[in-house]
Amino acid sequence: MSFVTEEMILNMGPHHPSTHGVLRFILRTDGEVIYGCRPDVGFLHRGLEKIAEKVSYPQFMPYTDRIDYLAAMNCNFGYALGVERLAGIEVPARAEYIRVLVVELNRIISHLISVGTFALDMGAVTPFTHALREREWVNDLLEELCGARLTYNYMRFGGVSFDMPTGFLERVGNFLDYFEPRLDQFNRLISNNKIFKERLSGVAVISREDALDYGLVGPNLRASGVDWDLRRDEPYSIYPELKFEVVKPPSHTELGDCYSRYWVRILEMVESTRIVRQCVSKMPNDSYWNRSKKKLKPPPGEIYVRTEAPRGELGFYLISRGEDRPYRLKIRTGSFSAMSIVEKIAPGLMVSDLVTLIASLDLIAPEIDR
Amino acid sequence: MDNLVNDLYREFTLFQMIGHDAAAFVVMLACGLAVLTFFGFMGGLFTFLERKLAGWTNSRRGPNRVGPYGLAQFAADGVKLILKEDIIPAEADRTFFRFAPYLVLLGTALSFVVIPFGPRLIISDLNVGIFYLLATGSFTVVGLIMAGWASNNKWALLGGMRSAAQIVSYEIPNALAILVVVLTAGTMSVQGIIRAQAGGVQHWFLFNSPFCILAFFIYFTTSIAEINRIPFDIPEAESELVAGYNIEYSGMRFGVFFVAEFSNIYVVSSIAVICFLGGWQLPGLADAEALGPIGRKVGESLSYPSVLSALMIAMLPCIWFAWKAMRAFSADVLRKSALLPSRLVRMNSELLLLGLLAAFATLALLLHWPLRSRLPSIYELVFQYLVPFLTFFSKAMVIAFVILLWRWTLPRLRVDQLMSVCWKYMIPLGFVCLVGQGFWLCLFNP
Amino acid sequence: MQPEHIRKRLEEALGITDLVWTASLHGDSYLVVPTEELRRIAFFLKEDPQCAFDTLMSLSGVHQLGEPELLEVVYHLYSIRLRHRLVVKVNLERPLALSHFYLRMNSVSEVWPGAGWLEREVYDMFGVHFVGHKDFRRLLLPPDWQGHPLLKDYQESKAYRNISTIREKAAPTEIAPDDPRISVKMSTSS
Repeated sequence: MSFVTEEMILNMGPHHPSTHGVLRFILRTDGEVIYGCRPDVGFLHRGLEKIAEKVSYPQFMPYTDRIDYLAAMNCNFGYALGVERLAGIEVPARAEYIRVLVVELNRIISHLISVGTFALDMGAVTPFTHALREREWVNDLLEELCGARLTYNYMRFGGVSFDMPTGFLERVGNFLDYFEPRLDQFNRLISNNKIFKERLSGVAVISREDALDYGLVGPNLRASGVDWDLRRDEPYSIYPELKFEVVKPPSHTELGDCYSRYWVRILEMVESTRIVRQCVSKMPNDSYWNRSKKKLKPPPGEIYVRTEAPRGELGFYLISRGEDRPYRLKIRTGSFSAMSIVEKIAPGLMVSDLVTLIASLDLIAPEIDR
Repeated sequence: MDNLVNDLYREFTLFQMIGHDAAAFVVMLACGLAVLTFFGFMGGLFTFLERKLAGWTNSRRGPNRVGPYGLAQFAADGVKLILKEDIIPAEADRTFFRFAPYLVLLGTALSFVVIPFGPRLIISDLNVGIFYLLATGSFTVVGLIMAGWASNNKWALLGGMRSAAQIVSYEIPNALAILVVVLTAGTMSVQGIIRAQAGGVQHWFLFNSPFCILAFFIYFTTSIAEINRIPFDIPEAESELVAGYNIEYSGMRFGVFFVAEFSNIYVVSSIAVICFLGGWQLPGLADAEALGPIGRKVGESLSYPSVLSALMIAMLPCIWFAWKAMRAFSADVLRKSALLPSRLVRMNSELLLLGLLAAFATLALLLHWPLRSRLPSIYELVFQYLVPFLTFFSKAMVIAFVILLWRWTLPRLRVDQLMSVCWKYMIPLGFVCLVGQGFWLCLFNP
Repeated sequence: MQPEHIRKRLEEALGITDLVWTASLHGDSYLVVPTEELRRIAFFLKEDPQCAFDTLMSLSGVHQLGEPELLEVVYHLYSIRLRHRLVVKVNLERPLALSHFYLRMNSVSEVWPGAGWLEREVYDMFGVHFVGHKDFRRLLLPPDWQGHPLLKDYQESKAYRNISTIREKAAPTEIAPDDPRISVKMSTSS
């Protein structure tokens, strides 16, 4: 005897407590198993690329914060780097070190939110609040530095906008001393939890070929087995002078599953603390902003520059026609590619596994929609 | 309750006037009301306790605005829920939509018939008490499926279906674990099971045999699955289904689901206490005789007027302090001159509670005067009623504390993992416990 | 591998002669390929062991105003194995009318599946149709949106589903000076 079942069309709608922004999925399921998944994006489309053609280069800097508000410094960094390369602006050494320091601090807190919301989506609320508690320290530090806790608007062409206050480096060191044992505590709480491991292991495996084909970047790519990190392989700023390891997924996880993506982010936080310590110890003493009085008008040309943001590679394709505003600015984000692979990987998963997949890819809606 | 009816019928001519059956009906109503009040109070207390525990686990404080230490939070929440708009979706099945929460409430409230608060504080000591508890626990499933279907919402339906599968599956190992206890005690009556654990901590069924420890573990885990708590709360998984079967419920209908779930925690903890942890028996205090001659002398000198008057006299200064503190507080608020130093202003809520206690003592003193010949002695009241009640309550609270804490520590299991835990691990383990306990009893307790 | 070598290799292997290499002083240099040959070139660039461009970094459209008004589609390619990058451009002439008929080109989503969503976005923003795409529809904007925003001469329609898109300057609300609901005196001068 065989059962005849019908497919159900479910709408995992834009109103959803799954904490990754306003996303919508239209699912075709048979009971619990998904047969087809269609992501529907565009709820956070603000037209940043069109806005870039209307405002001048420095005026667009606050808009870059809003591309990925959890890692705003990284977005600032990519844009500043692109314009500086196109216009040939030099950046002093102190500014470079400050930039890398805040960018890596931002990477730590972005990954904290990522793993925290991952645990929250799995049902464990406490790791999320603990991650937020750690994040508060860094928010306070960055507020000392530039006045804002989330969207910083800190970098300028030729440097950074404010110098570090006195004692800032010491406070950063205190935070790192506080944070490293907390990460072990966090791992004992949730990362090594048997139920968590059962939920994540073997779920939604993304093979190396799929990851490269669909353009996955960042921790997602590293977790699928591709040894690729822009900071080491296409270095920019002062990364050649810093010693750090490119994170490989640990051996107790299956390559390309959700658990390895989770662990890659945890290990990246450890690497970032090492980088921040090096920046703190090597901080040079010259100027923080190579400021020029002239209106910025880069010579005509185009450039594609990419940096390693917490969610992957953030690419800025900038075309200038010699005016004071960009002719075309295209922003290429890591979450965009990650979202495009959901449609391929989702069939065969259960509805609960879809939540796991989305959380493990660390999607964030403003990056997808811009 | 039968004894109570007979006693009251004998004592009071009022009851003799209305007849035995009517008297029984009145007493039944009164007992039911008392127990339901307790049921509601437990539900409210647990919502508050859970939020406080959640706060402290998440390195923040829980609610602390609404009363002293936030204790009145559940009253405020209750009022809020009553005042909310009652929305029924247009395409929903109205009759079932309205009826479903009450079925869930019924499943939980019916269990209170056989839950003892003391050796004589039980509504009815059925001689199939434990069996009755297992049976009434199944009412909840019907209510949940009804709620899921009647909401006309695919997510609610998914939640309802998952919940039905989960609860029905986990009833089997639940019953197996309880059967182990019934086998050991030899009776299904609740008071019988508790009395079979008399004589101290070593006689608790938890320590009876290794199979009983395993049975406790199975019972504890499966009962968490029965009440839809993490790690088994797939039916109401927040991040996936946005409250599952009770998505469409608002206002007091949702409040009913809510209170039923939290009181269910108490029910399940109390069954664990009854079956494995000795019930209302205080370890070391088998009966009042254990106190010895001094205790007896102290007990005989106690009587209602003396105790209540002592309470009142002790509370008088507290009443005065409380009144002064209230005035100072209100003066502070209204910016007039304060009468007292501010230390007492900060303690005003504690002093207010003490003052209320004193007022209650006065009221009890006044009210007990006409009935003073018929009430049990203070001694009996304390050791036959109060101490067992507090013992039972604190043991149940310890178990409930663990259940509440698990929610904030563990992630949830996926639906197929949940079902495989039940059918592949819990049920075989349950059978092993049952058969093993049978052999153990044959070998060691002839 | 240097871009000139790639160009020579393309010429040899596929026999395409009208590839234009534009070097620039500031920024990137790029290779302009004819529109019809794009699909063959894309397959070649991915599969050839000396090119091995396995990652499509970015796919974007550019509306170039100028003497021939062009719609460029720009492909940024990268090879993880061989560590070189290439920028390939395709120029489409912007037609005066019937753009859905004229602005067509082949899709590269068979070569790099990640181009699927990127091409949908280019369609959404510029109106370029990609032939051979498996799921071709708008990505970011609602399906019934009129127009393609990133074109330089885009005019937003006055209303979308009866919601006006023009921000009216609101008249200030009148408040009586002795309205009992307001306890703070506010200055009524603007």
